[in-house]
Amino acid sequence: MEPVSIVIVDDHPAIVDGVRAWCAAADPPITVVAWGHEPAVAVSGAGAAADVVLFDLQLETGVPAFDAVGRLVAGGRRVVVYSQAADDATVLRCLETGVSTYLTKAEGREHLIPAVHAAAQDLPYVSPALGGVMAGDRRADRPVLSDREREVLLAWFESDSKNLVAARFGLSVKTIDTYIARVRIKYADVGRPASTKAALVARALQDGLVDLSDL
Amino acid sequence: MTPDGLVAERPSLAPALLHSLRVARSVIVLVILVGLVLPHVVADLEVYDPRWTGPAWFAGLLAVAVADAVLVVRRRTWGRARWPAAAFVLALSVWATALLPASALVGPPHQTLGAVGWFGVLLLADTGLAALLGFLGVHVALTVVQLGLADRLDLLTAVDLAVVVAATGGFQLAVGAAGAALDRVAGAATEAARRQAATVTAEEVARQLHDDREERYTRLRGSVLPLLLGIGDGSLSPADPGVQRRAAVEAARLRRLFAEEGDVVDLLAAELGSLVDILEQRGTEVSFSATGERPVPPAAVRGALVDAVAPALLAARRSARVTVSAAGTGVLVGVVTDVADTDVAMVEPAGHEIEVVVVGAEQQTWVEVRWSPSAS
Repeated sequence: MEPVSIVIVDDHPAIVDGVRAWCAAADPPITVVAWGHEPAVAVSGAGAAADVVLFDLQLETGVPAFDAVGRLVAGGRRVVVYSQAADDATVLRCLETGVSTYLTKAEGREHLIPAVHAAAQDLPYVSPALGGVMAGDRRADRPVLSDREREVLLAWFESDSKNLVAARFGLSVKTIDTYIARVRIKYADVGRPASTKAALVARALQDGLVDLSDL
Repeated sequence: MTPDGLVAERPSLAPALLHSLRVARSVIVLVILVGLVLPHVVADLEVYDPRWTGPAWFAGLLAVAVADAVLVVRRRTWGRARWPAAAFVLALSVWATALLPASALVGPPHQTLGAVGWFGVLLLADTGLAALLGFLGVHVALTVVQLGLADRLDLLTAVDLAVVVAATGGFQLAVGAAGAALDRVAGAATEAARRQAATVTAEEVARQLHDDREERYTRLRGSVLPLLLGIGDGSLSPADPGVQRRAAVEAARLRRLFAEEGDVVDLLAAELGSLVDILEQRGTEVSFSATGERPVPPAAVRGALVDAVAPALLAARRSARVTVSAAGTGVLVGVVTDVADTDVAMVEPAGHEIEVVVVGAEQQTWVEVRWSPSAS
């Protein structure tokens, strides 16, 4: 099987170097095919064919690049947002746009590598920061979560350890994973349609992670 | 500006002063009508033809004065009714003047000439001096027109008219001006009273804050001083991990006290941040995240939340995670450390609707402190 390929859009050279080192050491490996500080690097040259776009939301302009994310998603690209910003409104707006997942820069290799692998296969990945935002979502049009789903998400946000969450609720890590993934699918199933959202939902249905009655 | 507006803006002092002024005006007008005008009306009954017309215009004026007195007693204003009432009074004046024979004009039987201006004071003085001046001016103009129609525009009559207008109109304007001045004074007095109240409130708040800090300094003296004295006289060893932990806890308390002096919006996060600083200074890697729309817990609850997680957090070795999140109407503080839970000395939360959950797995300890304010 071909290794997963990514293009990095980030204006911090240190971040680009760090992510390239993590990708080289990843197992299975991840190939970084292109990098640059402008979204253009993801739509032309080697970057145009990458499986996943790792996207820094705060580029040099200082304004969150929601439009660029929107264009990439509309072009069918799988976007993993990797951003300094952790505020709820920014995270929820990116989810609504149809990004594969959202990581904050405080979340390092242990979340970035699995998030890229999950995105490449249209599988849900929820970092603790994203879990915290979904658990605290108070918007009127948010998806309906069960109490247990919300508790598990909050616990994941608090502990950053599925072992601790599993120990707390007396459940297996696999069951905890299922709860978290199901919430992510519920988010993919609401709001504006996007092919990336549809792919997440379709893959989750195919894998039996959710069934139609959950949606 | 309407008197209603004034009352609404100056809730305390102005209405009382302005009401007194209105009472005074009503009494003045009623006394003038009954004490000065009525005797002339009675004495000059035969001047009017037919005879009932003299008492009729007097009754009309008296009715307006009584209506005003009733409004004053009920603390209500004329509102928009003041304008038709003023027009009615002017109409009565024109009618009464027209009833008089030309020879009686501007003489003793022409009582409306001096009395009508007082109704301008009653009805219009609240709206400002301009309206009162306008009313008096229209009244004089109408009188001059009627004198012209009666062919009485001779020099002598003009001098008499000027004397009456100057004497009564001067009085009426003076009362109106006094009202306007009183209105300004009342506004200034109310503003002064409000400022004084604000100063007293600010002083009281400052005093309570001071007492609150005194109390906490006293508490700190009870815990920090013995520790410092112990280290100073050698009875406590800085190498002892227990002493180190006590020192870290006290340092965190001091930082919290200082944090409250600052202008920080999320005080809970700031207080936890003080603890995080201590850990980072000694080389522990700490991740700190906050999420959701959180209420602001009161100072006592913040202190209890931080105290409940502090021992676990300060026991961390290489890494720790601190989170703050919204939980219903309350707040969750989570701390995860790389230390097995047997090594963590727990403090019992001191009430404040706080629950603590401790979970341990694989050399990690997770302490969750939840504040759920009871519905109030």
